[in-house]
Amino acid sequence: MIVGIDLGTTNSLIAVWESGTSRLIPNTLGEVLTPSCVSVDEDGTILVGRAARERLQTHPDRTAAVFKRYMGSDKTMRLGTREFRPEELSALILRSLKEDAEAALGHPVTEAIITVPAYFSDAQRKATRAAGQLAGLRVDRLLNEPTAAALAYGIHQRDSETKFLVFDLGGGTFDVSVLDLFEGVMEVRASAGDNMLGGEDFMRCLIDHFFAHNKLPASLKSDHYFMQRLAAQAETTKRALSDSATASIRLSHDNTDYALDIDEATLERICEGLLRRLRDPVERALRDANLRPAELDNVVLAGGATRMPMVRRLVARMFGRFPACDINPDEVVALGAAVQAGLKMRDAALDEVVMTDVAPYSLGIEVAMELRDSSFSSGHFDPIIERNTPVPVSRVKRYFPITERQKQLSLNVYQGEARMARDNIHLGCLKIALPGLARDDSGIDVRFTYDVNGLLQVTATIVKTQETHTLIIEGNPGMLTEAEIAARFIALSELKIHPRDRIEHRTLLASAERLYQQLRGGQREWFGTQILAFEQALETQDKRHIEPVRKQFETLLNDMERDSFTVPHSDPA
Amino acid sequence: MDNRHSFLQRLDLPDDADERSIRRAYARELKLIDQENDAAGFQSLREAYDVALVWSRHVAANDMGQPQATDATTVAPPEASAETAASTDATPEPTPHEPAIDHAIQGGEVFTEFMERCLGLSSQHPIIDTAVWERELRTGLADDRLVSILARDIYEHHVAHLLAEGWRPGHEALLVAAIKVFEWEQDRRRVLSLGQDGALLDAAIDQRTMFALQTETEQSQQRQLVLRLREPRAPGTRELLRHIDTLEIMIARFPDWLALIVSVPTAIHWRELNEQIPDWRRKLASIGRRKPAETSYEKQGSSFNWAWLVFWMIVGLARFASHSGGESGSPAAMSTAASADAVNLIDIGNQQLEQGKHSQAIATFTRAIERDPSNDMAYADRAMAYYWHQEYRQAKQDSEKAVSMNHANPVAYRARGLVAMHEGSHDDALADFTRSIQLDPDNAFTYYRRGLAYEANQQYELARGDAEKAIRLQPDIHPGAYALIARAHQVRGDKKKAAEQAEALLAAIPDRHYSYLTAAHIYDLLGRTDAALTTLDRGDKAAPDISLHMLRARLLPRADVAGRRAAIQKALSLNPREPEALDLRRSLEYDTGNYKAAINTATDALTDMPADSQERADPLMGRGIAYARLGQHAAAKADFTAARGVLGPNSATAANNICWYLAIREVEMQTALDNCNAALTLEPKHIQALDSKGFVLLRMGRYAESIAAYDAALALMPSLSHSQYGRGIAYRRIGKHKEAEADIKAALASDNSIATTFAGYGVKQ
Repeated sequence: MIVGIDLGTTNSLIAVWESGTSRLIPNTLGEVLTPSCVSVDEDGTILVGRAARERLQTHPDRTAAVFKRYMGSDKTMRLGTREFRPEELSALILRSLKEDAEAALGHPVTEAIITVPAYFSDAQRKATRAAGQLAGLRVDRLLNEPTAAALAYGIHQRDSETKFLVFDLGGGTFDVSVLDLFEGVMEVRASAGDNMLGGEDFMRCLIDHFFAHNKLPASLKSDHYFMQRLAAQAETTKRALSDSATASIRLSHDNTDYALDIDEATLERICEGLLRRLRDPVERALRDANLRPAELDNVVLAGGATRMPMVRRLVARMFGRFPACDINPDEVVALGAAVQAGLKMRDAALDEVVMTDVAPYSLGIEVAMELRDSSFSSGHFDPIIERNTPVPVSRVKRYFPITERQKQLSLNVYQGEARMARDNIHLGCLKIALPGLARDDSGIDVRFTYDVNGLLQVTATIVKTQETHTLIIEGNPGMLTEAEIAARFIALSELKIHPRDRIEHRTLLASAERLYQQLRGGQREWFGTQILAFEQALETQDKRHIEPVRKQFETLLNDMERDSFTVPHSDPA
Repeated sequence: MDNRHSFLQRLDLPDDADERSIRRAYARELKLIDQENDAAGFQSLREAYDVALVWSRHVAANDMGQPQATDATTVAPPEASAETAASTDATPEPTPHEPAIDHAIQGGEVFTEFMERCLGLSSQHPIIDTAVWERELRTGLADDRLVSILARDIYEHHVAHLLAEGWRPGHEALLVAAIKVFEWEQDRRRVLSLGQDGALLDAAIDQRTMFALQTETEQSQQRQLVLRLREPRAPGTRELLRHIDTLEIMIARFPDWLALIVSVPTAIHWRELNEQIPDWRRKLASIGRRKPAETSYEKQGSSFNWAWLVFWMIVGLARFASHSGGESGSPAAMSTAASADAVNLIDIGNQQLEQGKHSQAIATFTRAIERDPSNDMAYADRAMAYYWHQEYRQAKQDSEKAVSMNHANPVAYRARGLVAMHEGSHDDALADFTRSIQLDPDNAFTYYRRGLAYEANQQYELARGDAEKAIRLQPDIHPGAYALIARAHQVRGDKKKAAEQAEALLAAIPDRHYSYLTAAHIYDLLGRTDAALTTLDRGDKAAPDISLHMLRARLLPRADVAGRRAAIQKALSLNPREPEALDLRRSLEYDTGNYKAAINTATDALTDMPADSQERADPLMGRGIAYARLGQHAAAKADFTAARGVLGPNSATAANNICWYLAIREVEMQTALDNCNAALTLEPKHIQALDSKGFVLLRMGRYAESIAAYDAALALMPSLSHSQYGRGIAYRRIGKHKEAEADIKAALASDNSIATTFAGYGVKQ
């Protein structure tokens, strides 16, 4: 059985295709959203999910979050005594989800479809696949997030003909896709996006505003404890403003209380720049798909950040219509991934459905252009695969060296839309030795093959000799070789994961610890004793004893959270 | 054998598949393919699908005139099917949204406000600060009305269009600002979505990038020139010579970008001025010495003077001595005898030309070239001879050669201009004639020809000016000059002045039959048939000729059968085998219903003509319509096909001419339609064919299609009064009176006799 996984910046989900429908699988806490956080416990075991997120505030130097933004790079994060690459942190999340699925389904899970932002680069996609491998999952297929959302939405409409746009604003990335559904064929017409724009950025705006409003020194930003607390509050405030007119942040530091009362209109004002950035990919996707907003039948929202009223308002004004909100935007991508898993398993229920995707960015090489007066101008970008070409695709173009009897040629491969190569993203370089003939005889056929997963293969063939060279897009910063993956897999396996049956309790304790940190004076002391009592109950390992204590403790926690400052709930709405 | 296109075979579709069935077929086939493992299979299917879509749209566009014999059923309009599809599965109605037109208007409004603001700011001086432009552009973008994507698009389009119109003071800064604000450089394809303006901007931006990649020295040189080209004041010779190479390089490398950042007329003017600089002066610039001003010795007429030759020799030797190793100027020590011979021969050749002995003139000029290959006049004169001899390709070659040898030879430009006119390149002809006039300001013939070129460009006042100048210089230059003036007056509606030209012509050139023909034509143009006929009578006495009788036969009213017959008889008595007279007789027989006789006359005329000669076309067409009237449609069609065959089966113009021939006579309309469709298949943008098609469909009562065809023609040439009028009639026929009035009014405004013309075809309002 293949599962579908949404490996998100803020939250991750896992789902499965069963009995003709997609079903989300809950974690040990009974929730379908597992925060994408990893923490190393005091005893060295790994905590994933809500427990880790709580520890983001109490033990920020042993906890990591938002590491999806570093996928495809070499950046490591230090948790306790060990450095982790982003693939490894993601792998730990994936492993946890894998175990959740195995527990729910009752059999091993070895294969998964993982979603990636449509705009993820080659390196970022390979890192995602590597993360799957490190978690013991075979990832034969990567799926673009907006396409997944489209599948989840479209599967209910498979008999109709409709054109719609998916507006996917997640925690860290923004993707737009324009889709055309007819006769059960879901065709992506165009994709665009911004890899550095998500809900987290809106939060950062709020945090900056808090700093400005309270005239806090910039140096305070290096105080992890303070920042994590502030971040948690900002998150809750952001969500609160989706439902109520005003909300406030209250935080104390060094015995001073800081506060910020804010209403939705102000929030929109301070996030104006971000809202403007949302427009560009939408415009480009529509332009590339050759559609006007009026020709769309629907706009589908995906990603938790689309819950923000300001985003919904912007969407309504851009398109002149209210977006479709029937499917939970947090869940829609995972549900779609499960549909793709169903398609891959050739489930009979999905017989009449098929999906085609597109290459989201142009791919080409650096060339020199000959001008009318026979001079040359170098450094230009010549695309071989234009963006929004349906995939899989393979294109070949012939090039010639600049001078006669040229002995060597460097093929620099780029991805991007700019005219000059230097403004695009460099993917790799292939050096080819030429036979040293006249220009006209020294043609080279360069072939770009882009598969359904969005992975690129480049081959160059010297026409005269039919010698072929393949570019291995490896050894680039941000990418692991197969050997490195194998080695790290072994290393990761040796890490102890916190036992599943104790995660619920562990999470509760982590929340308690977090709350403890925020309390003061007598209240704090008293709460400390309550925690102790719970820990002692746990040590008895007697379920009948533990259960009622746990329930009581949980209720106490919730009460205290409500009473005191606007301390964030751990649950999303 | 399966004759279907390969892509249709792949999708298993019939020849008349519409877009819907293509999509369905693609969906069906796609489900059978494993995309992940059979990438090649997917790609070939996708290719077939993409091609099929393009093909079906192309077919749909051409399908307007297809006979209803094939199915109206399979070609179901997409909207209808979508409705039926939606009804099976209750998809929610899209929430009603604001109509798109509001957003477009708003986009335009914001742009207008942007313009007003900028005009206000630039009242004293043009805005040359990019920051100011940027600020104003962004102010527009931040406007609330531009949240809508459509409105933003319109706004961007307007800015692009403003830039694409060409440079105006300050627009070079606007270009930089716009590129920044709209990010045209970041995304190659963004600019291209702005249509034609976008394509121009795209090229300009590319070129701008290339500019920045040049060496610092090159850039700074070019920058100096650019600044200078924004000023209207003309350059001095020294300055010009200093910059001219840079200018040429810039034009070669950055033509589109240059057009956006400097004044194009100024740049052209610089080039023109440069052409006029004498070679010696040009070379002086590199030597750095001055010579006393000398009388221009480049003046080259067709009569050569021995004294000039001697002078040339001296100067030539002097030049040879004064520079060494420079670019090749005129060859140094040339044999005096040979050059004298050449000059002599040129003289003889010109005399032969004047006597109308074209072939001999060509031979003579060729000998002149052999004697002195460096004599550009020989080439120029030979070009003229070739032109009169109707050997246009050779004429073009020789004129190009002459121009390249000497930028100051008026005859060379004149010849090249004549060839350009023949090829229909009016603008090129204008440029060449203008240059020729610059070099030889008293040549009446060139003015006359340039007048014709202006007329072809519909620049009637300029045409008239030139014709008048030609006549002033030489009153007997050509009857055509008077006719040109008459036509120019007629277009303006001044019939009186137009008529005066006829008399002026006859007064100036009373002894050539051609004058009487032309004068008669002038009267005919003004609708004064009586005066035309009287003129022909006068011609009979003063300069009798067969052509006068034939014209009379044409001008006499249709009803005057006896008169026409008499005129034709007179013509045939002068030359029984005259093809035009025979054709007139056939036409008369056709008009009087004697179809058999018409067929016989036409057959008779054809016997004189060689098998593949183009002149067979007229009698074939004439015979064809006679057959049609007799109900012998097969024979008729055979003749029409044969006519098209001799005119050129791949000639869109020929097909169109046949279509038109039939259309105005209202014979074999289906064949007419087939022919203009054939013309459009050969050349989809053939304006005349589109106009003909509109007319045919109008006649066939297929008004909606007629309007569509006229729309297409007017899209290509919005000022085509013929199409406009026709469309107006079609609108009227379907009851759209407002549109009809608008069209008819516009057509009459540009050609006040269009209603009469159409009435002549039998189409009245």
